[in-house]
Amino acid sequence: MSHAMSQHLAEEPVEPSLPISNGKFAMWLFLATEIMFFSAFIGAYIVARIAYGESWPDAHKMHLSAPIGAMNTALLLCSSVSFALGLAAVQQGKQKKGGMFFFVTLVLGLGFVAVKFFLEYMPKYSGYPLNPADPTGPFVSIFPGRVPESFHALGNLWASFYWMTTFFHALHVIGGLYMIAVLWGKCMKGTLTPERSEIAELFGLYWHFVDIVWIFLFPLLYLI
Amino acid sequence: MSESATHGHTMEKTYYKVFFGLLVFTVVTFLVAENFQNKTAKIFAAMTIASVKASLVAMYFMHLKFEGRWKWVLLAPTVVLAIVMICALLPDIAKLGPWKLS
Repeated sequence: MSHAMSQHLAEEPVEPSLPISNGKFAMWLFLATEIMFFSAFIGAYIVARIAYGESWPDAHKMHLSAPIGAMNTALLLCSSVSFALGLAAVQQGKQKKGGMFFFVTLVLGLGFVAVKFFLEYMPKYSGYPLNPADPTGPFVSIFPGRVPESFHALGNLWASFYWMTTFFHALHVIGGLYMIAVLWGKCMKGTLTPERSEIAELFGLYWHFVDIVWIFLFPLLYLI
Repeated sequence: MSESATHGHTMEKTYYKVFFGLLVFTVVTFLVAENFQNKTAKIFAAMTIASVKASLVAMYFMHLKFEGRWKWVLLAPTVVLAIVMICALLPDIAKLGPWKLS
């Protein structure tokens, strides 16, 4: 290739294949792989649920609390709208307002993780909280000294689905919290200007996707 | 007030409306789960409502409603493949279920 030709190619603007930025294209490709990832879990769960029919244990039998699941749903929905409002504020150049909404999102997301680990995961290993009939402590174990087989990740099919889906989802939430903390920090420093706000839009796509996954997990695991 | 600021305020109102809708649908899911006796109908209803909620989040919070046609190029194959993957697992019900063949 001649020098002139290579110089011409280097100067030629690269037309994007889609009318969106490279960052958004990459994020949507990533989310496409995430859709497949969670579809595999949810699809397998639906199939097993139908296949086992009446013998599949319901949420009450497995000590899953629908109000706790509903509380977590509300926390994620609130965090989603809070993020959307934060992004809108940042795009209008209101970084302080945006930072406040991102902080609220962060707190709500942390609330989700706290409920998941302290009210849901820990009691399944160490007991159930605040039984007034037993004054021995804040957590009252119904399985003292051992992890019940019914809650082992490999103990049975229900437990495997429950742990795999909720744990991977919780990991995604934790990843999202890191992103939101970064955005909050940028707002506090005043570096998340409208011109540089695309990163907030991309992180928002991820956060809302995590919300969508929970929208499906909540009824599947806790209600039906 | 600039055009973008006006648009931002309009979007904020929309976000609140969608959020309210999501909360209402969550309550409806709860009621369906409590009151439906038929398990198949319960699963179908709950998953339909979940799909509507997911669509609302995707359309308004993820702004897919306002994106160009490129969204179909990226998302249609993914969603179709995800549905095909779930459908591909369905024959296993015949082996696992109480009506298993062998």
